[in-house]
Amino acid sequence: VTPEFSLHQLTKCHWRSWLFRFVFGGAVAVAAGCVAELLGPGVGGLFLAFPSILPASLTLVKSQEGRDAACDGARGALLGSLGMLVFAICVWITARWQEPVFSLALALTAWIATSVGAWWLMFRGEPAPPGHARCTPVAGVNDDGARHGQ
Amino acid sequence: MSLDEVVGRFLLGGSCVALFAVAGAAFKPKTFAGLFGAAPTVALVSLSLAFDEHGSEYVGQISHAMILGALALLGYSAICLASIGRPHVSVLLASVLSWGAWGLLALALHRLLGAT
Repeated sequence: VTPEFSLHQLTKCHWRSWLFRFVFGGAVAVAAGCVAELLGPGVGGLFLAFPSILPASLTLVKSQEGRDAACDGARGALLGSLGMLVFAICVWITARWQEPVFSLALALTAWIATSVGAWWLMFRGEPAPPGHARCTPVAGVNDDGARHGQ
Repeated sequence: MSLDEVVGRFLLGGSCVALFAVAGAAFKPKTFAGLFGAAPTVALVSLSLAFDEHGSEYVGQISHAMILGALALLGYSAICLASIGRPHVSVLLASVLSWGAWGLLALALHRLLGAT
């Protein structure tokens, strides 16, 4: 299976879901800054890896495409988390001896390379979607009656 | 933190999160789109501001803590996957309650491995 980028997919989402993510993302960024200021960088840094997008994304996917698709999203997020770990290690190593822009650009590249590389290793042999049945115990049957596609 | 800084941080953080969410929503299949659910959105904004306001020594400290937070995020994602895979478990409830697991993991790692 090959990743596809389609802006048409965005029309499925209600504007409220984007607004919610914007507000929530902004709130987490402010909270992370406040915690770092109050409790120091040792605690504040933890919140830089707070899973802020995931609950909203998984809930949206579940409501639109069913539980199996949400499980697929969570599997992808697990690989993205691995990329996040490499991102943080990259910044930690390069922050003291590189320009900020270079350090962050290198870390972001490392996140993309790790996440996409791990995804390619895990899912390159998968059949094309829609309707993967990897989470529900009975293939072809969704517990919530959502469209399955197989 | 001044009001200007709060507003700036809020707008930058919100924009970055929304941008990555849009990118994630536009990709198929869902396993690939899911990668963007764990994108370093808040980190990019916060680290940029930290470089500017506090310098590289501070960023070194905060990124060390972020490594521990990212390890907790790995645990969070695994717990999320395990719980939402179960029939009749609310996806929203499972993913929000897993925040508690993330917090506990992050604090435990901070206690064990956090820099003093």
